[in-house]
Amino acid sequence: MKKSTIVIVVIIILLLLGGLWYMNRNTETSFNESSSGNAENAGQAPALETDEQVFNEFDSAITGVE
Amino acid sequence: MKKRAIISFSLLLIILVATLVLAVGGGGGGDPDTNSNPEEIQATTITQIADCEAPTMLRERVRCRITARASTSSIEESCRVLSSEKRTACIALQNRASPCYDETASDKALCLRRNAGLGAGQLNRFAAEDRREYAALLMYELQERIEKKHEQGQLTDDESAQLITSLIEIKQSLLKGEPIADVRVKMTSFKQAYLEAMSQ
Repeated sequence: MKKSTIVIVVIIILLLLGGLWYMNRNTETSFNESSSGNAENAGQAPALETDEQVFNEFDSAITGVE
Repeated sequence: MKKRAIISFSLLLIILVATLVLAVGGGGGGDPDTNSNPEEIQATTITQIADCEAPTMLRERVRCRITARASTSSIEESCRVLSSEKRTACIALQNRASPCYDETASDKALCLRRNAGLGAGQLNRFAAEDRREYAALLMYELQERIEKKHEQGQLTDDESAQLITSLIEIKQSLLKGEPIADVRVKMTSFKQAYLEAMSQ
C-alpha cells in the first residue's frame, strides 16, 4: 500500500475519533451548559444546607408561575 | 495485493468506527422509568402503608404512619389526588428523585432539578410544570428533616403529623396546578409553624 494512502486513512480515523470525542463531550455537558444558555450559571445550583436555603429555593422555583 | 490490503483496511476501519458509535450512543440511552415499573411501585407503596390506609383523613393516616414509624409514603399521598396517568408519572418522578436526598447539601438541588427536568442557574426560564414538580420535590427535603427531628424525640407525633400533613397539602396544590397565590398562602403558614417547631 502506498504511504500516502496510509496517511489519508490515519487522518480520516483521527478526524472520526475527534468527532466522536467532541459529540460525547457535548452530550455530557449539555445539562450544565446548553440548558442554561448562560456560561456564568453553568453547573450552579444553591446548596440545600439550611432550612432557609430550602425555603429560598422553593420560592425561586415558584416565582413567576401562575 | 494492494487492492486487497486497502479493502481489508477499510473493513477494519468500518468495524472500528461502528463499534465506537455504538459505544457512545449506547451509553446515554435508557429511559429512567424503565427500571421502576410504576405499577410495582404503587403496589409496593400500598403494601407498605396498608395498615394506615383505613383513616379517611390525611392527617390521621400520616399520624398513623409516624406512630408506627413506618414509611410516611408522602409520595403516594401527594400523588393520589392526581388523575391516573399523572399519578403514575408523579410516583415515578418522586421515586426517581429519591436518591437525591442522600446527596450532599451542595449537590442535592442540582440532582433534584435534573430529575424535574430543570437545569442549573436561574429557574424562571424553565417550564412552569417542571418548576412545580421541583418545588414539590423540595418539600420532601423538609419532610425528612421533620422525620429526623421526630426520631430524635424532639418533635411529638402530633407536631410531626401536623407539619407533614401541611407539607403534603402544599405538594398536592403544586401538583394539581392550583394557583401559586394559594400555594404561597399555605407555604407562609407552614413555614411559620415549621421554623417554630424546628427551633425547639
